[in-house]
Amino acid sequence: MKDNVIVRFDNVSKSFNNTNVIKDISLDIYEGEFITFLGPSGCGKTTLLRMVSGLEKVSSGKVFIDNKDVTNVDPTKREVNTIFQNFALFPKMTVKDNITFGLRMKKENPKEIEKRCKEVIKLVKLEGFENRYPSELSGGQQQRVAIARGVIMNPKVLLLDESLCSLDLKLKKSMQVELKRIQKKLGITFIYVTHAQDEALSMSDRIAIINNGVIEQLGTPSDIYISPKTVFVADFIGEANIVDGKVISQKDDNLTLSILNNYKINIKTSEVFKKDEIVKVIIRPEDVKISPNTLTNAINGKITDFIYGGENTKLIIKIDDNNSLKSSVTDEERYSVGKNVYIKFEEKYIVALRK
Amino acid sequence: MKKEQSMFKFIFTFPVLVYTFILILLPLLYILFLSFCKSDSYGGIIYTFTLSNYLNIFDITYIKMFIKSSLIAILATFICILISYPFALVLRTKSKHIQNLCTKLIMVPFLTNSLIRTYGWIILLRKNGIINTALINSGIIYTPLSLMYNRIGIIIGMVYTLLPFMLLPVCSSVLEIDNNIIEAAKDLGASKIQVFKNIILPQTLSGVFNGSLMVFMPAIGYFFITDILGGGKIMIIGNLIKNQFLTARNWPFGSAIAIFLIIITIILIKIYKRLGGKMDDLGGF
Repeated sequence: MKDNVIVRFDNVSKSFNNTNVIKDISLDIYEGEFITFLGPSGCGKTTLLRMVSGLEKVSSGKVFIDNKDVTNVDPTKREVNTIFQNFALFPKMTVKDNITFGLRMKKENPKEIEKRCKEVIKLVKLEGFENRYPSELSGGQQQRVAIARGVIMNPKVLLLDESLCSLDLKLKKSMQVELKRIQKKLGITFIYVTHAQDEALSMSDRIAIINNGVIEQLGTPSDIYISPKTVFVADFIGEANIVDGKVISQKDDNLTLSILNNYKINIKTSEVFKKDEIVKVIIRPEDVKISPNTLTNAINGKITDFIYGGENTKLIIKIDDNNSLKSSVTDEERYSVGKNVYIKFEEKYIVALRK
Repeated sequence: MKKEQSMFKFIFTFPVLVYTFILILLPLLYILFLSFCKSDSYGGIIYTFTLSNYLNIFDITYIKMFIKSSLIAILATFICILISYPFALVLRTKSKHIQNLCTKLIMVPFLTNSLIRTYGWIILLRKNGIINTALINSGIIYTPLSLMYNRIGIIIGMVYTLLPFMLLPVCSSVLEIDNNIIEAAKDLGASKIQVFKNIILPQTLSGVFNGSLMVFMPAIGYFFITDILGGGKIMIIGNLIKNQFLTARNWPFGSAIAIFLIIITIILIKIYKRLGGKMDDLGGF
């Protein structure tokens, strides 16, 4: 599955009024994968997506779809379809007319249109809503119409531009499952753009983290979560404690660091660091293990905040005037604000990054 | 609590009710009442019930006049659409700043009395007016064109005076279309013509109808334009009503024609609603 490149960005750049929005990005997207462009607003992720659909022209570089150079091909002639952020349904058309719009514009055989329409309506579970108008549908149903309207065209790639943003949390969760189901069933490539990391982590085969017009990191969700390559990625994906550390010694891939006033930790790394080098140390809240009982060789701290979150409650623990750590706990009933705790780390997941 | 609230509502809406009642409803009711009265030959009103005023409207002379003035009004409406629609489509491609500026500029003529503006056209259109002088001096024509005291003058005056009433609703309906929707249509393979036919046109028809109503109805009634630019040679329904009140002094008949016009307007709005239009899109109504 992973050998066939369906979309290729070849040194693509884009500038609006002399500001570079996309800076020399090269990226291969494979057939049948669910890839997410994840980044903060204004990072260029939507621009990158619109270059695939052709709604945005590149300033330099080339875009290939299915090995054909489409850099100068009009959006109407590209075999990709977009699901827009606010769905962009045609308000004066029924659900059925919305869905069949693309085929009708191509002047397909009416019988064929009818058949394909039935198939996609079944796929997105909208049976019985064919003659409603978009204004008579709920957010989730509108979303389904938008998806059906795209997939009926049998695109090589389906582009989703922050498609779940306008839905409420509950609906968002169920549409995430739904999108994944539809993508698996159709086997076509989905390119999903979002600023919400939970959507990216739960749906994607691969994630491209984009910041300031460049790809900061590309990898599977677990890759990116467990071994972020930059401080930005570590901070953007999930929650992270980012503290300064000083290299004490390194032997092959075993690195000994001193963090938080000479507390020593041993971590694994593939990078080579110099002695006394100051690094950024990334510690996930779930790797900050705390205990109310006195432990030897542990950091002492005081709970200053208690953020209740059901199955995932977080505590803010003050180490000293300059440093606090976030810890996620499951036995929150043992703790309260003001209590002294002892901290140890799950050291194998700690990451050290060059500044 | 509820009682207090409705009391509160009543106090605040009361001035508006009084205003509407005295300035709009009362005069209309009086006109309606008059239209069922008889008139004597000296302009007085005889308070006996009759339907003869309404039956008189269907006299062949008046029917001819109705048809003639409707044709003028339809032509004026049509020319207004032809000017407004392309303007709105071009305005759509401009920046928000320019769009706002242009929409404001459309309203500037409202600051001056339309009667005075109509007189202004005489300077432009008459035999030795600016337009004819310019055309003759530049050698395009040798004898001056007759641009006023005929149907051309009336149409020019109507289009000029009523154009903002077409421009505003048409522009707002065209500018309202979400750019995403047009991009979505392109994305699904629709050509420029298909986008216009399937997306832009259906979404703007209500604006065009709204504008047409606001241009057509005044266009059969604006008697001062036919008086000034038509030289009093051509009568439209507006002139007929005016004459009944001021010259013939037959107020009941004038009232009947006025009520007849209101009924036509209501019928047009009903047709519009039947065709699926929304009252909200009509704005002013």
